[in-house]
Amino acid sequence: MDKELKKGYVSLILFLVILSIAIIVKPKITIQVILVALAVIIMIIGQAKIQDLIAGLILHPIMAMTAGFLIAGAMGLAGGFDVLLILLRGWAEWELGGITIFGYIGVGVFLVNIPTIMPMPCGRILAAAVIPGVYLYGIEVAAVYGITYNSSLPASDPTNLKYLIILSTFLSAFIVNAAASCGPSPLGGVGGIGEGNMGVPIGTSGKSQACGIMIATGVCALVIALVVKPLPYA
Amino acid sequence: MELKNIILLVVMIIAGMIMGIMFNIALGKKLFDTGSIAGGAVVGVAMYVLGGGFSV
Repeated sequence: MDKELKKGYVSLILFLVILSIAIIVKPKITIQVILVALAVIIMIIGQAKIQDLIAGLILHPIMAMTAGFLIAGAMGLAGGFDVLLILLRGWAEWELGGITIFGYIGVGVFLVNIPTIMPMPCGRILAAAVIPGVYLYGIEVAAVYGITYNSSLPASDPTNLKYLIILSTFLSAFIVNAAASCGPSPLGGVGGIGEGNMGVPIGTSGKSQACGIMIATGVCALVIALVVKPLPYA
Repeated sequence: MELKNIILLVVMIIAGMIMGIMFNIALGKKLFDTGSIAGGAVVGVAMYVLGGGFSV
């Protein structure tokens, strides 16, 4: 038997056996620890290096999301989201000749579009890093308009429902952008969707696609707020 | 700036403004704010200027 094929058999059997044992025995350590240990063992068997995994884009999305979560955690601890809210509040209340130009909703519209305005190599980076900020901003907007969640009332209460609609609208619009915001690459993302098949230079249709995502963001806000309506969680 | 780029910029600004109007409709009368249209226009310009981002 081919040597590479032997390694494949050993890796697959090891994976299935250890996973089966973990399910049956239910050890006290978490499944993540087992999976990481298993990954290291399989890497040793397969003589794979970290670079091989990154080059094969196997780790890329996971690392991107992890990086985003790490940034979100670090920003939260360092007070970054508090500063973000102060800046957004200042922008929302900025006046020109006595007239508020953007207001809280205008700034919110900008905030949810950030992932498409600044597409990262993987949309997960900004999605994970900024989503706590979007959530907090949604709460801030609701508070500014005098809408708070009263947990002693049912979620279907009109004020509570309005509060949930505001949060869901901002979050879902942000998620649409985050999902669509991978930077141009042969795999897809803004500017790359379908371009691999078309054979045109990467990024040729990026701005047109960003334009479509803008419209889709508005449609998503409409659908979530008027059709789906947030599911009560309390 | 070439004509096609000017057209694209205008289209992106209009798309952003439409998005802003849709946000207003979604959030309802109580939260109505014409600033969302201005916000949408800024998004359109920002996407035109910065769109493209990092290549993989």
